[in-house]
Amino acid sequence: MNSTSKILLSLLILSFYACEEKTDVPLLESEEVIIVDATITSSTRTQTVRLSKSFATLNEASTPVSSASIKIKTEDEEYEFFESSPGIYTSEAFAAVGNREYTLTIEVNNIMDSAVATMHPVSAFKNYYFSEKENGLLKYYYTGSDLPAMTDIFYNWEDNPEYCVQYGSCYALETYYTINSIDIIEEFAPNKEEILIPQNTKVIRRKYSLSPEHQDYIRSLLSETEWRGGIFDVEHGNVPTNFNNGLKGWFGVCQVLSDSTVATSP
Amino acid sequence: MLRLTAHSAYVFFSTRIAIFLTIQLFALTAVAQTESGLEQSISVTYNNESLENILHDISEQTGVEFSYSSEIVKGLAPITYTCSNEILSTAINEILAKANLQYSLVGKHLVIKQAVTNTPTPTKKKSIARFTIRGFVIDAHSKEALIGAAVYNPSTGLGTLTNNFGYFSISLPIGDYELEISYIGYTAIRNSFSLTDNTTWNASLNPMASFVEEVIVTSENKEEIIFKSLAAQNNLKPFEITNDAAALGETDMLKSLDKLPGISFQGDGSSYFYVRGGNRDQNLILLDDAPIYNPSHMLGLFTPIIPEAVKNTNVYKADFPIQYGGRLSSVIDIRTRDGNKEHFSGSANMGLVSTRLSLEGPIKKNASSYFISYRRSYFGWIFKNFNPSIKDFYFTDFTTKLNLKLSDKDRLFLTFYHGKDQFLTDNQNSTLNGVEWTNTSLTLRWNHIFADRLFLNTTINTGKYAYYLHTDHANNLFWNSTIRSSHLKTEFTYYANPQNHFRFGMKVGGYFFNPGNYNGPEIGIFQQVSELNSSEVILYAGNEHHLNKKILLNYGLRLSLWQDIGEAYIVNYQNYEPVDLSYYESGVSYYSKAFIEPRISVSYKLGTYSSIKASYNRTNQNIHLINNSISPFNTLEVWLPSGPNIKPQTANIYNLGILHSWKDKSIDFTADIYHKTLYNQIGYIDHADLLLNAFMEGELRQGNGKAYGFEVYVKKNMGKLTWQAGYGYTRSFVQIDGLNNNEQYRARQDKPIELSASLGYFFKPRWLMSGNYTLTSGMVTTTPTGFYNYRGSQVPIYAKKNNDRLPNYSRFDLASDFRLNKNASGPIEHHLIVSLYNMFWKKNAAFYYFSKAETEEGNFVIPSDKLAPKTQITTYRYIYSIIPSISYNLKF
Repeated sequence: MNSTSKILLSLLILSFYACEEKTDVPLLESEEVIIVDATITSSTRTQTVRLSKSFATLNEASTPVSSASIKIKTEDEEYEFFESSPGIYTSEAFAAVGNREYTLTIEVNNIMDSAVATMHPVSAFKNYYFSEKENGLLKYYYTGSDLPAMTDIFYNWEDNPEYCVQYGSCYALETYYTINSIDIIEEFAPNKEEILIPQNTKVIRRKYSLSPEHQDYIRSLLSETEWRGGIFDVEHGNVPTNFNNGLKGWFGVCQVLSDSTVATSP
Repeated sequence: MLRLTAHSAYVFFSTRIAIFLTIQLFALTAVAQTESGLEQSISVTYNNESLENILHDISEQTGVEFSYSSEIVKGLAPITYTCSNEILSTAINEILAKANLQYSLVGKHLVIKQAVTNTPTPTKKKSIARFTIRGFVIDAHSKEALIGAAVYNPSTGLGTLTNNFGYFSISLPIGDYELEISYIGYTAIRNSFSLTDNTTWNASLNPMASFVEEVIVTSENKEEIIFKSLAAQNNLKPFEITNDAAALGETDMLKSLDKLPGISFQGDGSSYFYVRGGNRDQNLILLDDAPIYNPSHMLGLFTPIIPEAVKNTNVYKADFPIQYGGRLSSVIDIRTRDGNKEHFSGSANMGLVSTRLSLEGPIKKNASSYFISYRRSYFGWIFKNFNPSIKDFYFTDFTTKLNLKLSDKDRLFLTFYHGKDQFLTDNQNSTLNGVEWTNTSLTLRWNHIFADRLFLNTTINTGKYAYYLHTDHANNLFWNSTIRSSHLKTEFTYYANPQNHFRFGMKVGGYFFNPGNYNGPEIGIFQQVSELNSSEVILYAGNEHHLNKKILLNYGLRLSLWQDIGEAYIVNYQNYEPVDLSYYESGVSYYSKAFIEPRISVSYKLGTYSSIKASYNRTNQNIHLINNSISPFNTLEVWLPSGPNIKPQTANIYNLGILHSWKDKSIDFTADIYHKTLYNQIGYIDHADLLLNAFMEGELRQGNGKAYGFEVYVKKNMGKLTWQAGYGYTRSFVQIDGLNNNEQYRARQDKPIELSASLGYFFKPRWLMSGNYTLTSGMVTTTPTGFYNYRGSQVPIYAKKNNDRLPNYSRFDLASDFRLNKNASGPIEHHLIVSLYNMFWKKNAAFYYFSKAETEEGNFVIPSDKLAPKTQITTYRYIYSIIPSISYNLKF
């Protein structure tokens, strides 16, 4: 490259470089709302419902909401939830099944609200795919799902104390989504934090099915979180809820599939 | 006591008025004679001297100015004349009589013409006989037709402007007249006529020297333009922008619109612009009558309209000419150059981003010509080096025009434009994805002069815009949306008399819409969105009516019929939920709506160079851009027609403005206030799903809006120092049921501050420095009013739509234009333009983000680890920092 080309290149890079910076935007505040995080699954286990309050600024700790009365009903069954720790309500062990309508009813702070959900099937996992990055660390690549799903990937490298120190923890969890929509904001989403794992990390995948309504919710959620921040952003909007009397959040019923492996170089 | 009957009173007052006017006329004539110096004495002796020399000598001695055609003095016999202390007017009369000539006093000029012998006594019949002076006004060098040149009779105060093809026709009673033709940047010319028959005057104006001269001179007839221009009309000529500082040196006509008050762009790097609070799809951009649906290159950083290809741009913001419609906010009427009919010429530009080349020349000398321009970017290789994932990044455009003179009364024009952009990146799965879009337009136009006063313009045009989102370029998997239109327009202009210029015509055409479909073997997993077809028939008629010397009316009516036609699958909704589907066979009309659009404006002449204008326009829009992007860049653009599920958009536009020119100082001033009521404006539900969604119309909501504001604009484009400044105050609100708790909210384009100022100064005859400053309110945006945690993510809550605003946008640009050739009139002219765009490195925010965390390396990423989420921060993105550029322009 001759000197002229170097100058031109420098000018162009100067023109377009460093175009994102930190800032401080004073935000207007709105009233606190109660958020429901309730996903019951087809696994026979203690099911959990979390209640918390919204908060005014980023990174604030959310305040748990206690003293709620929570039930899940089907046509012929009813499960009651008890507060096991502040804001966390658990039931006896049960498993959600298909072809059944589940109604979550929550009574809290003089609000009676409910949401209805059904379970849709989950498709089989595809093969694991790891690629080797710098220093021999591995990166897991999500290869999609035949049916709409959200998949938690849990990493455990507690057998590698050196990496525990380097990373700051021996565990990590990331979530991938497959939904039947195509969005420009998704196509040009900003970069995600890359979680690199050491060789022989235990990897557990847990895949949740999504109903069409749950998909819409996830699509909106991603539009406001993981996909937000690219150069093709769309209008901001509130993530929907399937509660209808003031509570926010989502109640989902998911078929779940799980497997595990030990990560090694391909 | 004197008592008057009605009749005697009429006679009395009529007589008094006549006497008064006669006295005034005599007084004015006397003043004119005195001012012209014709009362002074002169003593001269000429022996066998040519008339030209005699007139020159008299002019030098007395200071009187003569105007005459060289034809009139050609071949005259030498003159011998002697006088002593003779009154000048007598002496001139006696000299001219020897050559069978006479003069008339026009202003301070003595216009010499053939002596009229046996001047017929005007009978009543003859006194009302009218004859027409018609013709084309062209550039004397290139023979390019000049649009909007003022053709003006100074003594009667009547005149006209040339139309979009340089044609004029002015009809006057029998008599002697002088006409003046003037145009900005050209030397005005005058010609006198003894109008006893229809006359053709094809006038050639000589351009002033190149724009990079010490003085930009204009002898434009401001009086005519100020009186006749429409309310809130702006005109932009290529020479006004070629020396502007532009991002990476790429000057273009559309980006320069931000100099005008009431027009603002979304921000840096955007080709989206908003006019007076209207939405971005409400601007009709016409390139020789063909619509350009997405005028952008490189995601919007540049636009495709290069100055070399443009002859004239008219911008209408309130009072739309009767022949235009179909949009609510503005008409941008761009006319391309015909090409040089005299000789081969061209221009080239080399900048940091692209190279462009324009060639033009005669097909048949002085009759037919061609113009070709081509531009290709070459920055892709730089970006590929900078970011290896970028695999293809370029734009190109091609413009050509053929101008064929078939006969003295017939001309044929063909304009073709094609532009393409491609941006492909290599994603994590090693497939190429990205975006691509093309704009194509074609216009075939036939001008015919049926009679001296009847001008026909018939146009066939087609425009197409196609957008592709490639998900796997190698395997031809892509999403595509398209809008295509074709129209036939026939329009007559009838110059009935100087008081009435009628325009009437008909336009028929059709549209094709592909609202976005996926192409590829996996098509089954996506919904098929029905393609749609529409047709429209438009009839219009209007009149430019001079009520008197002070009042000019423009009124007209547009009648239109819009129809949607099968084959189509139309979803039926109840409460925005799809309930069933209707199928319409090919050719079957399933939606039709008629529209009446009245247009009226009045221009009142306050003084020679002042007028006040009021206008009312009603306009409708039947094609709608369906896009909820807040990005300044091009994104997946879908157009849909009005139909069973989308109501037509309508606007009532009221405007009151004043124009004034200080002619001696060459300063033009305009001020306007306006109010618009907007109906059926389109809004989107939260996270509207607009891609591959057969039910996308269920994601839309419609409601009403309003926009109002004022604008002030001052411009000086003559002299060593030129400048302009404009300020606009624009408010825009909408209320749409189903959005924002049914409450009114600010539109994104609500901008109380729109300030633009520019300055140009010739330090040396060859060196022009120019600066430009822009300050506008930031775009309205929505910021969170709270957050909540959900499965490890912080989810924002929005209490109100459009509750916030990005910081004010400001930018200062500086440019230096140096002409490299010393001789301004040489065969080659070349310039070096150095510019600093955004000189003060203002980081204008285009987005706020609340979703990211900062890595140890200082990058901003979306947190992934749900067990130990990183601290999220607020960031903003800006598009441009300081942009130095250098470009080389060559004209030959």
